[in-house]
Amino acid sequence: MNNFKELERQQSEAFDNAGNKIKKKLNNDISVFSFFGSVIDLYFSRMFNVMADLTSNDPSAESNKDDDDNIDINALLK
Amino acid sequence: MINLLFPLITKDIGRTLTDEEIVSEYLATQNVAYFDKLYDRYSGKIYAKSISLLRDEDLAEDAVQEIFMKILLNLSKFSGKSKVSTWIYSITYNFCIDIIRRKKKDPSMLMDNFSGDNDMIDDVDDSFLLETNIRRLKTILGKIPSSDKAILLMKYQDDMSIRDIGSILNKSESAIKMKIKRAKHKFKTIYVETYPD
Repeated sequence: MNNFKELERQQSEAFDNAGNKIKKKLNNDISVFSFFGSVIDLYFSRMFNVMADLTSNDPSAESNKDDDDNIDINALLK
Repeated sequence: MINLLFPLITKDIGRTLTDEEIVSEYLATQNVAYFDKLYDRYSGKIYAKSISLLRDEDLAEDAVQEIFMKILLNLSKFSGKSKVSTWIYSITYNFCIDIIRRKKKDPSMLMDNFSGDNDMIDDVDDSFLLETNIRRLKTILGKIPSSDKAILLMKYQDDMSIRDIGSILNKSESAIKMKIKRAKHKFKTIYVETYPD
């Protein structure tokens, strides 16, 4: 018989109520982390592209961008 | 709301997975349900160790939350060299030892004085500790210095090998063997003082 393990079992049982509260808090924290993670994933890659476009000296990229903008505006006007 | 944002959270994990499978599934899918599973398996045990070492319910509850945050943030660094349980317990013991050191609640955590103990004979049988009744065990663990208590919990509660204990406490195997002997001796001394009958 190992009473060290039995003591652990008894102490674990006493934790049930507090354990559920802590689990909820942890899940909230994880949700917040995931949310900010998703935001960073979504917007940082786009921001990086924008910055790359702005710093590049490729005029064709600029004109393509303008064309894209015109198409969108025309489509909206129709 | 959470379910709308993260539909995988509600996915049911049917069969019983090993700890290692849970960790690898969580890392692959980021599905919180796997993390919940790990929490259900280990939160009680982490609390039991925290309350034994910190001797304060509120501190122990806070410890559980912070230890799980550490587990979550470091899960991707888990190398798989040790068992998941050993890795989780190592975070738990190191966290509690850190708290005790910071609060300087127990000076035994601040020193490693093996001097004079090297020739100590291991005269305390394991069965003496393992068969001490729960009430008395709780009392003795409440009186024993935290460093000795941590060692005894690792050996007799978690069945950790000398090597694992050594890697958690960053000590050599011979130092750990000596610490175990000393902790057992301390346990018996306090037991005899407390229960002279």
